[in-house]
Amino acid sequence: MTANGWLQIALFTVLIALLVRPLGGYMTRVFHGEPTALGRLLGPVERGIYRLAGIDATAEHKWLEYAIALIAFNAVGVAALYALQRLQGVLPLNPQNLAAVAPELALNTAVSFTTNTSWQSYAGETTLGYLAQMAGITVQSFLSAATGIAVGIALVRGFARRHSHTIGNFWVDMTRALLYVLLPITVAATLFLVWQGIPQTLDGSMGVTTIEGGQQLIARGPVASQIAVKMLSSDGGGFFNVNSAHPFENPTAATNLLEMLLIFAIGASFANTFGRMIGSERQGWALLAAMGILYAIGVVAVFAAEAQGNPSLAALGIDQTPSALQAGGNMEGKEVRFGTAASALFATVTTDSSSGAVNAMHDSFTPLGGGVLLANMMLDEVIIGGVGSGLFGMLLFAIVAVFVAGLMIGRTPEFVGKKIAATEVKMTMIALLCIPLVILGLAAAASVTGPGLTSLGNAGPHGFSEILYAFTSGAATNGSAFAGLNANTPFYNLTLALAMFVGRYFVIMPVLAIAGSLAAKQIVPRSAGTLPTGGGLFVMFLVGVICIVGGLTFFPALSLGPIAEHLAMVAGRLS
Amino acid sequence: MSDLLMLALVVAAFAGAAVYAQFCDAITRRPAADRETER
Repeated sequence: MTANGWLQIALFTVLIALLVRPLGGYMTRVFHGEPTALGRLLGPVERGIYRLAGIDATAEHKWLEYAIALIAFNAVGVAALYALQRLQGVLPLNPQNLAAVAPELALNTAVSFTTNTSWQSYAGETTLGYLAQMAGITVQSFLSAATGIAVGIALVRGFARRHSHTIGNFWVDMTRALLYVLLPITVAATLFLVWQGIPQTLDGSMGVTTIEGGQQLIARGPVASQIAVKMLSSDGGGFFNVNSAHPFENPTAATNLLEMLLIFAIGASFANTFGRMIGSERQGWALLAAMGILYAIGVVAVFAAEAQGNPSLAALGIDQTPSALQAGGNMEGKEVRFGTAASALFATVTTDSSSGAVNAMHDSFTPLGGGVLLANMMLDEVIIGGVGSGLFGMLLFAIVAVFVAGLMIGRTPEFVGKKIAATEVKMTMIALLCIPLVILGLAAAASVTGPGLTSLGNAGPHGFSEILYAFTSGAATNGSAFAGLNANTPFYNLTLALAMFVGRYFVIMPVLAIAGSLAAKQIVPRSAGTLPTGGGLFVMFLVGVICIVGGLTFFPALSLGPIAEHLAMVAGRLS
Repeated sequence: MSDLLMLALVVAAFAGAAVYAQFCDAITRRPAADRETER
């Protein structure tokens, strides 16, 4: 592990910490409907959208109305993205004349991007035309992120309001998230990325003569605009097959840093927005501290594992030490431009969040490094997490934590002034249990059936890790691929679509139900019997609950995959 | 596989999500004992 590597990790962490208050405060003003710097420019646009769509911005939704609006909107999104892919052969802006996408792949991709997962069973540059990329993939990056923000804000309102039967207006929350949060940051980031050399063109692939005299087609397109929102929305779906390892998606150290900042920006700031909206920034910092501790453990573990290198190669006398000529460590599947530190940091950031963008191939990480990436996703994407979904995931664990603490001290559990009753605990358990059910159930099915096993690139524990990673990535709406698994088969396209669908909507519904239930309650004044939830003790308790729940649920599966592979590698028995 | 089958899967999935939302709503309608606890 080099000082340079630690410096990169420290710089990123400090920059994110500095971003939290300004962006958190800005989002609070946006969702309180207060004037913002962009209000004069975007206010007329917002009002125009409401007029055009016939939305009464003053009318609010009960939680079930909010949920049904969300379901209907997302169903239309899936249908539209599916149609764009199936019809791309006859639609314009397809300079490579790419054929229609196969039905089950189109379904998988439509569900993937509508659920903010961005699992890709296809290679972008050889499968999707520019119209499908721009009007399909990029638009859904915006809309799925806005959906996540809307659900997050609805839950925050549940904690903040008293005796309210409504949790906000879904259409207004979507519009404000899009107009005031996602669009302005995306425009600014796109300009930066273009400046750094990322292509933004509607011209087709460019034919070039290589140094050796051969002919090569270099894919390009409207890349920069898609990459900016791909990162900001924590969607992560790449324009190119190798995602942010491609020099046209991530050409410089500056773009690498910006892309990681974009992934964490809204998720980290949302904790501050939560604190402000409930009237106690301290509570927001407590949630962010729990996220930060888990992030720190993850990044140190992955960096340490990757910097140590592969003992099997060391036994062959191969030099893996860092020097002026090489980054050192386990460099298989990593960009020489980024080395082990920036790859380990990016991989941690992308699996902590629901991004799924990669700048190195996770399949080539050491067993422990890859295992940590898996574990990050298995913790329900609460370590910063997805845009909006990270906060509501963390709040679900906070409800479990105060419930367990309440049982331990014999008091009725309460969190930020709201009594947590049987209803909230039932909804929380439903939300938290459906993800492991899908991951472990489908991974088990794939591990013992022909269609599941024929797609594998590796046998043994690593092969199992590939299957487990795919379903974990899908159900946790992450979307990163471990690689080594051919997922473009009817079996994986359909089962992964199911995992993504359940992982998104079967969590969102109970979350909105909790929001509705909490909003109707009164706020209980603090008393001597109130468990303090804004301090270090609760933060550590919350981290413990997350680790124990995640650990107990997934440890057996991790034992069969990365842990078994690590032990085999250390014992020199890895073939 | 045909587009019709894929469309049927999408409709079934979102209809399932709507039914699931109704199921959550049924649980959320708080029983008297729950309200008593809150008091």
